[in-house]
Amino acid sequence: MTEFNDTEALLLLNTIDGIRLKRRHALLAIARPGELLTRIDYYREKIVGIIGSDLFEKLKDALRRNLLDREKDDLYKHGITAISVYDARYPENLKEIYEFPALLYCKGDISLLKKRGISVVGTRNASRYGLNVTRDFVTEFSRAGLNVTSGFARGIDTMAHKSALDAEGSTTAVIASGLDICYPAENRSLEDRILKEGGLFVSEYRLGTAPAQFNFPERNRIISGLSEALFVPETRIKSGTMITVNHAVEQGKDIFIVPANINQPSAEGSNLLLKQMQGALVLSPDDVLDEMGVPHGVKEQKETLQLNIYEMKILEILEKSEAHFEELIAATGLNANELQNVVFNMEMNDLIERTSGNYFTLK
Amino acid sequence: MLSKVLCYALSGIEGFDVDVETDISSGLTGIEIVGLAGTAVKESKERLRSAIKNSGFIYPAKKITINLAPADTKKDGPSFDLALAVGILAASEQIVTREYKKYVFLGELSLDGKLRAVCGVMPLLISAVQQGYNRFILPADNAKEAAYIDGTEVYACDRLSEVVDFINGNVQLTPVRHTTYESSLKNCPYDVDMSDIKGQTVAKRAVEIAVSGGHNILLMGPPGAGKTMLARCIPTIMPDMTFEEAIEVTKIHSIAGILDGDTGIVTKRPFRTPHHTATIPALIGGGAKAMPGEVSLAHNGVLFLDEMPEYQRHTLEALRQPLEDKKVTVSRVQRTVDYPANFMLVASMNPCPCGNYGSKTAECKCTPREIRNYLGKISGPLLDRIDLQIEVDNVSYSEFTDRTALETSKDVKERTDRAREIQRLRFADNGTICNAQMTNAMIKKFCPLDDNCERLLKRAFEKLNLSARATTRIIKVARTIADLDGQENISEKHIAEAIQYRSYDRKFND
Ligand SMILES: [Zn+2]
Repeated sequence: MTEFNDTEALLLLNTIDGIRLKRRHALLAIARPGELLTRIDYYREKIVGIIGSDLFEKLKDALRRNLLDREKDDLYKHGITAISVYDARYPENLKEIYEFPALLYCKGDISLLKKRGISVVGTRNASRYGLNVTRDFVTEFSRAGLNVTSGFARGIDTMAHKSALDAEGSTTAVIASGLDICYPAENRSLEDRILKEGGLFVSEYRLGTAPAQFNFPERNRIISGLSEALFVPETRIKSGTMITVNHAVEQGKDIFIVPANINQPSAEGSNLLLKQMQGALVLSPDDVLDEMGVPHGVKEQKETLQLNIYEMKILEILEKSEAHFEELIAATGLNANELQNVVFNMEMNDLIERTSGNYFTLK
Repeated sequence: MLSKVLCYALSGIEGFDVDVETDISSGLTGIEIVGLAGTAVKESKERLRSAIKNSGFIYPAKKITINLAPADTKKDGPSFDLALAVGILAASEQIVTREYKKYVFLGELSLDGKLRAVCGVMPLLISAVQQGYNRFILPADNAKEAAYIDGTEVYACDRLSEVVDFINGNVQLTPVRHTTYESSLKNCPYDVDMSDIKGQTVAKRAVEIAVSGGHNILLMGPPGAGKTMLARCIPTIMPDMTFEEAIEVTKIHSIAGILDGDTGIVTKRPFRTPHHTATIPALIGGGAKAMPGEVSLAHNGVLFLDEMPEYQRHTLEALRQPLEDKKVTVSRVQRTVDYPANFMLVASMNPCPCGNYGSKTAECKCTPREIRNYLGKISGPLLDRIDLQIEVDNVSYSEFTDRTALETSKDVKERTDRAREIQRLRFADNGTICNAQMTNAMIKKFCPLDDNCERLLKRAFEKLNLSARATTRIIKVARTIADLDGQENISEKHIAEAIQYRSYDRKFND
């Protein structure tokens, strides 16, 4: 008789395709997984009752063929640590959620699992406003020492991870595929950066698992579950973000939302949520941090630069909202070539940023 | 009896003389044309018979043999009709004087004996004059075109019968009056003007720089942003064509048969917009008749590629050679012909496949990968020849009310002309005319950068992640901006502005 510990047993259970979330939880209700697989014949009847005799035979076969060594080798090769719910390193936050993930595959700094944090998710097709809000809020969250968790998707998620790293904070990406798969592929350099700069990747899926459609809603419960609060910079009505919000509500997390332009399709969900839960309304990162009881210092001032009259005028306009080149011409009275020079210098000094279609925003 | 009539034919844009020798002898009734005549010449047999009869002459019921000499060169086109008819009428002694030997005859005949305009009269006449011929009889519809060629005595006729009456001394004709180029320059307004474009300050400035330095330009922006309108305004701020330039353009357009008979000479800079489905022969030139392609029709003007990523990659690749050599070589069966192709390339593209990327009013549904693929469709080597890349946006003008009156093309042209003049003097001994055409050695000589400029360039490259290949193009554009500024030396502000016109690079490197 081979003895399995709980982590090993869960790794083995994950090799059986037919045992997904529900069945796994039913199995764990019989006994702890190590005990269950070590004395599999003793529990035979109960196990068959849940997964049927075909899968039971497959499971037994997996034990017999000693697939475990290969699983462990693969994890080792990819630098992945498997942490079960029975492990001391498993975050308390996550244990409390409905259908908690029994096993987490982790890559990176696993101490982040227990670090105080906030989750930030939103639409993939974010507006400039949504992205700016994400950057501004996440920067402050990071400065206040919170870990920022998100889903590694395009748009808001990507901005959340990047902004956390830019502010020299930590970040956790929870993904809906095996940790050996980079999805979306264009985020490969972000993946490298997160790992290099001390972030963490988390998934409950075995290596090689493709990012299947039904994985995403499941994954979202982990995003909300890992943190004590959820911040939504911008969301549509029908979206994964809304699922995450629902999970957060069920899990009793604090939810924070900023109001958005009512004509912006990518923010329709934000405003709808605000209508339903007005307590979620926040207008600044400080609102969020105060609500969470996170101490935060006075904001650092940007290094003072000598600004000329035109630069001051432009900053004043951009404080309010982004502005078009023509608008800046009208406001400064400069020629096109003169203004090109002014905005170029401001761009070089990290004061402003040129966005699409000859628009400018504050950096 | 035997007759010999002079005619002219084209090879590319060069003309050569053709002797039309006609022999009428007893024998089986019929007509035979020998001497490498093309299909169009052979088809003229039927036209000749009808035209001669319908002009009140007798078509000889004998054996007619016509030889086109030199016999080793292919001759094609309907422009031989008149010479053939005169040959037959002379050989059958219906033309009674020998006056016809003084003239070169050009013209197509219609069945009722009318003379129809032929293509390529201007290049034909220019070659003929150079080779010592100066008396011509040609269709009235070609008169305007012919009037620009000095040293000619041109008689323009409406009908074959008029030609015969003139040669036989029955009527007097006055030669076509010569027109000066300057007189025709005055009345050729373009149908667009810079003052028609509201807003678009960035784009207008960039276009002014592009024209000043002869730089190619890429306009990026959503549909409806006015990219086409901007492009169409470019010829209006280019320098007036010199007579030599106008002749070059007219020759090509004359051969291609797109010359406007009312003006006779092309005075406006061409603006050509080949469709993205255009074949390579249509674009570059060639085909069965070795015709000039769009790149040559755009000679001395603008070639506008609307929605450049829609063009086939190999079509775009084919543009590299003419962009490099400023001419194309088209081969036909027996020889190759050169057509000039010195054009300014103006290309436009959407910011993404759906066109809405960055739009404030519509939503972009493209993924970053789709956008990257789309932007990447423009081949690097072609992009390397485009000095300015700018964003054109569809901000409605009313959003930002302007207090200054809008500049007309004439206002802008004064500045571009000045900048061009500076370049003309600078490059007088260097065999080039504008900044865009500077070689690396010339850049070294004419664009020295001080330490401040070098520092700025270095900093901008690191910050904006520009490719090293952009350097020379930024320096060339900075040279042009300095010229517009009337400055002998390039300074930081010129470099800074030039860097602002690298939008594509910046998008692509994001
Ligand atoms: Zn799009």
